[in-house]
Amino acid sequence: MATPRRVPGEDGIWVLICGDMFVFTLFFMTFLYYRGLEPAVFITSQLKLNRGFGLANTFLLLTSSLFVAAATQRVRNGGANPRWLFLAAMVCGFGFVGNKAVEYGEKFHAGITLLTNDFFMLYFVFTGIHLMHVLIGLAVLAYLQKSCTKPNAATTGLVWIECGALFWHLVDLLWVVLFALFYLLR
Amino acid sequence: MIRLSKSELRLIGIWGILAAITLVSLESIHLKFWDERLQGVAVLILAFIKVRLIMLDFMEIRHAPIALRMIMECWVIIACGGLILLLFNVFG
Repeated sequence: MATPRRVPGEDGIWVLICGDMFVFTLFFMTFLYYRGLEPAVFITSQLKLNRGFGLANTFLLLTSSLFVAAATQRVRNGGANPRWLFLAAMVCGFGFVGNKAVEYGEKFHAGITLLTNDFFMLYFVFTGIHLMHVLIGLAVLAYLQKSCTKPNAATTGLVWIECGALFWHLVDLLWVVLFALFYLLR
Repeated sequence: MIRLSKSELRLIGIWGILAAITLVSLESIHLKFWDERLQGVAVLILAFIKVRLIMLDFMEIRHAPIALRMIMECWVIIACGGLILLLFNVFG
C-alpha cells in the first residue's frame, strides 16, 4: 500500500526552512560572484583550507542526520530507544563544533582572519553563520532527546519532534553545499 | 543484538550513498578536465544530488504533498543551475 502523503512537521517550519534556504542561496551565489572577480585569490586561498576538517565535518553532519531521521521514525512507530539516537546525533554535532573551533584556531594562529582577503571574509562569515545554526540545532536536539521520552511523544508531541528534526536536516543540507563551494571547487 | 527495521536499513543505505558521493566529490580534485570549470560543475551537481537525497529521505519530502515536493525540487534545480551559470561568469 502506498504511504499516504503528509507534510512532515508543521507548516510554519517549512516557511523557516524555505526562508533559510533562500538566504543561503544568496550566500552561495555571492561567493561564486566574487570568485569570478578574483579567481586567483580564491584558488590560492582555498589551498590554505584543510580538506580533512571539511570532510570530517561532512561525515559528522551526515551521520547525525541519519541518527535524527532514525530516531524520528522510532518515536513515530514506537520503536526502542529513540533518545539514544538523538544523543548520538548530539555527539556528532558537538564533534562538528569542536572540529570547527580547531579549524578556526589554526587559521587565526597562521595569521589568517576575516580581513585577509575576500575569500576568507566570505569563508568566516558564511561558515560562522552556519555554525550558529549548528549551535541552535544542538539546543533543539537537547529538547528532542528529552521530549521523545514523554508519553505523548508519538501523538501530540510528534509534530514538534518532526520540526526539530527538519531543522537539523536543514543544517546538514546547507553544509553539504558550503563544503562543495569552499573546499572542493578547484 | 540490535534489530533494525526495514525503513532504518533504507536510511543506512541512503547514508552510504551520501558518503560515497562525498568521497567521489573529494576525488574529483585529482581528475584532469579539459576545462577546469567542469570540475566545479561536477562538484556542484554531486552536492545537489546529496541535497536532494537529504530532502527526499531524511526530511521525508518523498511522501510530502506534491506542492511541497515541487517547491523543494525546483529549489534544487534553480540553485544548482544558478551556481553553475555563475561558475561560467554568465552574470559577470
